[in-house]
Amino acid sequence: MDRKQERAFEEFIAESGDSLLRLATLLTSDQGLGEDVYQETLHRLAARWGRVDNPRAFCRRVMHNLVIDAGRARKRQVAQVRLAEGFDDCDPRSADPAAAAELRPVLLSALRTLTLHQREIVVLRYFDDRSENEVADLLGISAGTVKSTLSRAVALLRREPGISELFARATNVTMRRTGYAGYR
Amino acid sequence: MPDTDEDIMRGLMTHAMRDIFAPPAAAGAAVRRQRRRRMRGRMLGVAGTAAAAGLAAATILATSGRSPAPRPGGTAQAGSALPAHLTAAQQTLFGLSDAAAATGRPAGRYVALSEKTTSTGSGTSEAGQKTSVIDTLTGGGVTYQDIAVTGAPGTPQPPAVLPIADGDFSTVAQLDAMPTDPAKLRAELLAAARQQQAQLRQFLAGKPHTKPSVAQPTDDDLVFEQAADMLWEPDLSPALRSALYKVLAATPGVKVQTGATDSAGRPAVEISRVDTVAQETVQTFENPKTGATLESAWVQASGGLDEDLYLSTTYTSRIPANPYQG
Repeated sequence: MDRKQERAFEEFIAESGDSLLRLATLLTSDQGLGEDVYQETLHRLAARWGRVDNPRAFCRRVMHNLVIDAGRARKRQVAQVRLAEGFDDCDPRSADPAAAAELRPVLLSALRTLTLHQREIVVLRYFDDRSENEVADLLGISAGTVKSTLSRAVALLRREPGISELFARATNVTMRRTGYAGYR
Repeated sequence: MPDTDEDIMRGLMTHAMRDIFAPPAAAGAAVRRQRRRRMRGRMLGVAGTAAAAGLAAATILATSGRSPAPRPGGTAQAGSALPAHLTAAQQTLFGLSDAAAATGRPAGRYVALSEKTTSTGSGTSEAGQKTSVIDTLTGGGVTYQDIAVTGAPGTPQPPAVLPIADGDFSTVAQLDAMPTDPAKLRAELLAAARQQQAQLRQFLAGKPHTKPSVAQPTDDDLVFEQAADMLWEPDLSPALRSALYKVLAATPGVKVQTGATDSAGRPAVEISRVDTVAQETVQTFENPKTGATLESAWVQASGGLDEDLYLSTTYTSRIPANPYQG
């Protein structure tokens, strides 16, 4: 990378770093491992910057590869920077950090009950907002498999105690807000 | 209508992750590692120095004609005058400085630097050989490489030929424009490093979700990093290489090991220092007879290792063919 490329790389990370770290955390369903995967993804992106047409797609692919070998990934070490040091608990953008901190373990715990395949599909579809076709392309499966897997995975998640409660609460709130006639 | 399961899942994931933020230091670490692995400071170390010429000039004016204040621990002066008392490490570095000053400078427009490179860590490794051909007039060139990545399924293998644009590498003229007075050289190296840091801070300042890193490298961290990253340059003038060793002699925290050997078993003087922020150990192995660099290594706190073993340096009048093909 020359200086111009380094700036472009840093700009990309400044803009996309948060969402990439969150994606890695969800894909691994483990905050510490997610940090490791994120850092390693950045290293690989930096090593190939300039030859990558779509950095975010490249990161997604690298994360997929890293997460597949979860056993090996768990041994990965964070190089040079411990990401936890950079977390800002008082960031003003977080409207309700306490609620997020309480919600996250419930979500990550529920995601761990899914197979890696199911988890990837759920996270890519609902968090990364990829279309079913995009998820299918990335994982090398059919769009129909994505759709059916999503359905099964969400059903499984809804059985998890913490998640089922959240689903019920969200549904009730929505019904009250919209005056849905079926709500009592 | 109530939200669908999809809406609820989206909201749940977004909300649960909203207080996780990636620190800017992560990008900096990736850039830094990449810089070392691929160019080892060639582009930023020298191009940055040139870019910071204005700032450096002011600093040099401020320090010209006098040596830096003495530091605790008996460090040597970075000026031209020999300090009254030298530690054994400083004596060795001054010996390397003398050896470098007495070594001739080969001629030839193109310099071909062949090396064996190894990078391990995070479950992956890259290893192989490469030859960088540098046009000393334009700073352009080409890198031929035969490097394999293992332990990372799906990762593209490095290309066999990597073209390098003019100006990416330092030219002989740029290197020769650098000061050879150790005090001025230290000031310029430090100014260049600070300039790079300021540019990064300025860039990141406009980003709402970034904040400055708590730990900052010391002046000595920066000077050592810049100096060590320059030593491997095959195009350094004898005077500049000589001055770099004197700069290192004046930098606290530098360790010197005589009687060492590089990875190829060649006799060497090992110079090393631990970065105070990243806790990364930078090692450089020098030929005790010529002051030429034989090997550079970066040992990360996590155990990762980046290593470049310099095998040969040749000068030619035309670009040589790819040695790893045919």
